Amino acid sequence: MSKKNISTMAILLIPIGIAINVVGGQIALVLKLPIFIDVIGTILVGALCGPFFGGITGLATNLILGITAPTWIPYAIVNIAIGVVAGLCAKKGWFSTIKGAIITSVLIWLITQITANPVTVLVYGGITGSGSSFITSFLLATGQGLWSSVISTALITETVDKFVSVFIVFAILKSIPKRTIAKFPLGEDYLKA
Amino acid sequence: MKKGFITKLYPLTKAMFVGCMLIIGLVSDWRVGYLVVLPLCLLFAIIDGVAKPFIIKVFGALVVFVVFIFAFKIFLDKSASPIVFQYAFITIRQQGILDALNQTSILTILASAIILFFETTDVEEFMISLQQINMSHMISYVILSTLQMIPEMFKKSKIIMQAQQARGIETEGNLWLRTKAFFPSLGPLIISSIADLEERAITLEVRGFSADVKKTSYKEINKTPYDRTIFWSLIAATAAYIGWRIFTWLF
Repeated sequence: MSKKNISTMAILLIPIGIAINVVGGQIALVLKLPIFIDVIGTILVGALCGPFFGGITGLATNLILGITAPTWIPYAIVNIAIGVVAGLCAKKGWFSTIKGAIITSVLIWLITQITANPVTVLVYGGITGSGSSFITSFLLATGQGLWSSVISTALITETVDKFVSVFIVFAILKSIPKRTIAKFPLGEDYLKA
Repeated sequence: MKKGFITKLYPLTKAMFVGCMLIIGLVSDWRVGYLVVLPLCLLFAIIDGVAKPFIIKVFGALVVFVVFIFAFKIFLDKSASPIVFQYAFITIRQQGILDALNQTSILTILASAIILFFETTDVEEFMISLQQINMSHMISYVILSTLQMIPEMFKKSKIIMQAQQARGIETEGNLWLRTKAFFPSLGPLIISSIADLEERAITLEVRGFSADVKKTSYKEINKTPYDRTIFWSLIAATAAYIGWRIFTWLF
């Protein structure tokens, strides 16, 4: 397939990535799982198509979610960062091995903390709009400052699902038929595994 | 469907309104957000007959944040400003309320302006107007395709979950059981969607998707006579306002 067609595949993957971000969260809700899985799509697109497409998926997810819930738009920067990091890790081939997947999880977790916490404090005054705000208010009531309460809350609630998300993408990459995966920009890396 | 005045306006004009409101909000305090932008958007919503969905959506978007932010700011308020209200251990001072209002102002502007925009604008028309100023048609494809795909995927996921349940995957019970059900529910969804991709790519290519030519549109949108005036007045007013703010800040 020509280079142009590989880009088309990547562009077409973006809506799927966004939809997965949205639906994945819904499935977790239906199964009543205590995780807030909403970046699987972003990580997947980053892994298959590189940092540029990963970042765009992240941005577009928040913009589209923003149509019905504009209050979430400032978090776009987190989604973008995750997509870019996932893409960069994929380029280094870390999505093909378990060791690589662990490194990727840590990096994604790290970048999430770095980008999300400032947004939570500066734009939302410490609220994330989900149940974790109760933890934050509890910490505040015990006398901790706003930044440390937010960071502590995020460490508790946002850690597990980032690791889980990366490993889910890892498992999916192994399950996609080789014929299809070859058509994506980074696809050839996964054929070797 | 009877179209109100705001709905008939060209999408980019309305987008300029949203942008200007946000810029103004970033350089102002809470009074602009709460006393100007929110009532203004509400007024426009009423003019176009979409007041009820507007109010419901804005309320839904803001209520959690506003309640929590007010609570937080009041908790954190250690200033010596006058007490507004006191009951048992709860002390509400003026400074806390002011901080909360300032903090939530930008969120209020964001929510009101954007919700008003999408209540009075068809996404498809918005995309067409963006294409007319040379935005790539690929972007509008991505957005429109996603909006169509999300409900589709959601239905698919329900079907897959039921199919998996029929094969003995437990979706109820303890946490471990439910966790085991997650991947069999999500996995096939993702993989089947990706497998469909190739065919879709070929279909689009056959229709000249990545060809570098200007696309024509089946739907036509027109500017009303007022669009030009409104568009440039918004820019002028915002620039003047920012100029005034800088002036008062410097002297």
